[in-house]
Amino acid sequence: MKISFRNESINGLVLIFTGSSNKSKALRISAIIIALMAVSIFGYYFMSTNEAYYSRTIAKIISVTQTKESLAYDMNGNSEQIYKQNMKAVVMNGIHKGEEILLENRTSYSKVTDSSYNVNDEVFIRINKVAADKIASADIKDFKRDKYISYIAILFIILIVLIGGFKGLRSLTSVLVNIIICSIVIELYLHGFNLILVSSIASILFIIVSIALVSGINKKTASAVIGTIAGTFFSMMIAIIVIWVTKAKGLYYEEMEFMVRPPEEIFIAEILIGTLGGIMDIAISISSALNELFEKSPAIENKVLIKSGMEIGKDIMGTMANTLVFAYVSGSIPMILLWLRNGFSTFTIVQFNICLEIIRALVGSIGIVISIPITLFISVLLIRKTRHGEP
Amino acid sequence: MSVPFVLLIILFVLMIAVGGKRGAKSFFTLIVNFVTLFIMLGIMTIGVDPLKVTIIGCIIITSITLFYINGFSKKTVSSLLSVIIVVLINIILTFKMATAAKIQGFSWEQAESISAMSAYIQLNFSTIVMCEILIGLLGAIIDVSISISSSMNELFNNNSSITKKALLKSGINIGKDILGTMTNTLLFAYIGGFMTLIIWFYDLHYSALDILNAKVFCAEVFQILSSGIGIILIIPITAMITSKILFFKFPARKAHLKAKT
Repeated sequence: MKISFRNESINGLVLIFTGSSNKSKALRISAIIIALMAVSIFGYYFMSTNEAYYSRTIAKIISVTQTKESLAYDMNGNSEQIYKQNMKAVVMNGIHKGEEILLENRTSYSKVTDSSYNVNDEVFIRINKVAADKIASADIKDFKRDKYISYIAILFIILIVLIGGFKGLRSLTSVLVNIIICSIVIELYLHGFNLILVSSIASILFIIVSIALVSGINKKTASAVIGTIAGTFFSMMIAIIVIWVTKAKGLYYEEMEFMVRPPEEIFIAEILIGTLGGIMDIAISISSALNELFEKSPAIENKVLIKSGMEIGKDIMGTMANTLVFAYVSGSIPMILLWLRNGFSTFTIVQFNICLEIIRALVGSIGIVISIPITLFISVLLIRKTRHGEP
Repeated sequence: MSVPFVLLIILFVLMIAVGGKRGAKSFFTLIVNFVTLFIMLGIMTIGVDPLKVTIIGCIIITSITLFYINGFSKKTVSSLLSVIIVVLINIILTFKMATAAKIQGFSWEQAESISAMSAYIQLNFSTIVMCEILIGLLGAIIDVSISISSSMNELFNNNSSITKKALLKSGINIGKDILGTMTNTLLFAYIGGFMTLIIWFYDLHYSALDILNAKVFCAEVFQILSSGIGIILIIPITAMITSKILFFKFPARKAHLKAKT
């Protein structure tokens, strides 16, 4: 019941888009929209009024006065105006709830490491001194961001359900399951298990769960799963052999921030998981296209099947590799800009700052390209096997 | 020889072996896009508004990718238009919230890695967040958009009796099929870069609530979800625009034909 209901929703949307109206469908879709909105307004409201659940002290800013301070100069001859913010805030939770306090903040135009605050912003504070049971002085420790995260998450969920319908819901499930598997991997690693081993096993789980959720359990899923596993294995072999042969020349792990553990192992595991998505995408596209072709004309020759599969592979290869490059490199943009403005050359930046991202993108792209013939071969093999098996 | 260089050569050889001439084209597009990205960043550092640079850069990168690999046609033009629209909608939906969430720049956890740098660089990092989000999702929306518009183009060419509404519906259905695999592609790519961060949080004994409010974490989540929103939005938008453009007949040509008869 529910499933068909979801599927109807998209038809309703289509009709709205195309301008024609259908009363019952319009009613259904408005019911869904209202329900989604009610849930999201409640969720957003909860996230904005959840101070009581925090053990850290939270204060809400009620007034801000901003004054200019002297210019700050740096070693490169840049100067920037610094502002001082004097704020009044109300404590929102804990034993000091309701007390008014004074807070101070310094902010700059660039806001590379600082922030400027506005009225109604909520911040975590550290209480420095308590006199006569009241807070005498406090500092801002961090900004409270949960409300904004919930905004973007709710927006994502609403859109994926409205536009994707039942399939959108399946993608959402697969995202959630994959996040859970990933946290289990990290948890096991922190309890002393070998990270490469754990993530290899998890990768097989990732592949099976994601592909089965996207295209159901059938023949083409089997060839996509085998194709992805083989493609990932070969691209990881290439990566490891290259790192081994070149003795990791040009690999600067310093760039990996937040590192207190041996980086090599974590980097390999990250490459492994990072390449999975792209390879799966290619494997699914090719295996379902080949199955489609075979079902439409069962008399089709192997040669023709392989040729069509190659054509499809050529079509997607370029844009997929593009996707990976942009997804990986975009995260380094703030760091690149900071280095550029600090007078470093582009060559130095590429070498020291994004070499790991480039390696991730390259291994991912190699995985994509190598999976095309592999999936093709496996799909054709499976298609022929089942045909021979049939009476 | 360094690792990235060897991998680059391997990729080049593989792309040519599998894709032939089109593989070589894909490889060069990759390089050109990467260089374009750096030119964009260079222009930002000399004081041009980063958001304008990003929007124009996105249009250039999309045009290179679409027109060089797939040629100039109705389907590539529809994809280009859809990508531009989604980029603009994404700015409207996320810019204000991304600024309000104060996820710009670097957090105190990253202080060590930027300690040797000057932070007063006269670049508004709140805007840079938006650039980061847009560039991160650009590749993905180009991919989804061209897949939808070329499938619709095939349908349109092979089926002369197809109505505009039916074509639109097929376009959205094709898009929904791609949605699942594309979210996975991006999810895994981002998780791949996310693991060190989570391990670091575990080592710092952060609670779940601490992580939820941490700047680095929020910045990553914001980027992943904004990319997701872009991928979802590109589906109906490409379907609509492609169906409009495929059915669009140039008035000048019509008049010319009439004059002929």
